[in-house]
Amino acid sequence: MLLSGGAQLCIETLMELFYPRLHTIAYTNSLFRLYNQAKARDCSKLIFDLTSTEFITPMGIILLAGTISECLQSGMRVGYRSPKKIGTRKFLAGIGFNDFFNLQDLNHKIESPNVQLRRLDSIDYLLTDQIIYVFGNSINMTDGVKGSLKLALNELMSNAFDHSESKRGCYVCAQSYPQAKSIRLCIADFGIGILRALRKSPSFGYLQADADGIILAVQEGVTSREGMGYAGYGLSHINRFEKVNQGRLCIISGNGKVVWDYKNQKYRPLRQTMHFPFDGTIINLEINSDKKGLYFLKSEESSLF
Amino acid sequence: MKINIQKICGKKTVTRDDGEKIHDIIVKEWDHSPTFIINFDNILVASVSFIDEAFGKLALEHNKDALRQKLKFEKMVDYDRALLNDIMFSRFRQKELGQNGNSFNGKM
Repeated sequence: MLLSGGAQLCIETLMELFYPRLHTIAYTNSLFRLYNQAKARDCSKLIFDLTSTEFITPMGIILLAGTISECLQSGMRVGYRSPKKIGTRKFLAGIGFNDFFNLQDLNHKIESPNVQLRRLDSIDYLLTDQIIYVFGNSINMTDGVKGSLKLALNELMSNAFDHSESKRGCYVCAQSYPQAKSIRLCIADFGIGILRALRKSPSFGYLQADADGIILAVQEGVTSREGMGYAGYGLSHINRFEKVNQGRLCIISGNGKVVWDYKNQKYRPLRQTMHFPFDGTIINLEINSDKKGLYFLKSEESSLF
Repeated sequence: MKINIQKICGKKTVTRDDGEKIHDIIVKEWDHSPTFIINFDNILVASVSFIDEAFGKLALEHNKDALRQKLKFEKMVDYDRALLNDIMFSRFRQKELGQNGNSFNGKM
């Protein structure tokens, strides 16, 4: 408790957010509960306690960094307790989390290819190149596939800048896991979400559920009329790639979570309602990175023009 | 009919609005012109939005033979040509799936 100015009573309220052991897509309900607690701003100081945390995916990094950034932006005092596990602390350092908040902790370089945590306000073509490099390091792709993925990723990011109404652009982070033969990429914004963006168009005013909006946004070319729509080509192309790759695409927006789990031969999107909503949009990709096969575009096989 | 992208669009070869200019010219002259020779002057467009709006949408209205017969792309860099082909095939797939393109009037 703090007393200030004699007659005025100021109370400093402290809230501690205890993060779980795993920050993965399977634990999004727990992570969103913490995100919503932080967003409620029912305190003057917030402690992000990661002492129990042992494993964080790029999605977990972005959610954590985005939540902390939003709190800092609102003028809240923020504290941070780093993980006890040294490997996790090293990973946070290597993936750019410490640099992102100027935290003085370990220095560490991750050996496997990655894209360090970044927040973007506009498209950064070098960053897209870097993502494609991470992919290309483990997957055999033609230049056509690389080019089309690059464009699709740029489209996803442009959507975050142009349509999500996010005040802080979008966050990007990727990590290759050679032993698990997979690559994880996450692109997320803390904007208005897919459903609200689509519903600004009269064509999609009928949409009620977040999951319906997500499923619609993944269809080729779907966008709203007044330039306020969401994905057009980006998501559908990424989804096609995931299907061929037998990977997994997960999109979370509002209280909807939809997973295209091609890895487990589930070709229909799996819908889930989150207990705690997330205002923005999270696009999480898991890519199989075994080097079998070559990815090429149909159009590279037979060109029309 | 000759269409010079740079002369019509200048440096504005990014957005759907930019692509719409080219699309409108082609649609307007479709029945009057046997071929459209579209010259890119080797500029790199690299925009899905522009190429889809300018040419991709034509795939919803016309078949492959008609498009191949009518549209000739000159001085187009390989990257854009690959992108154009990819977009055209995507649009054909969309047409085959029975989506009539009503949702495509908006901007991406």
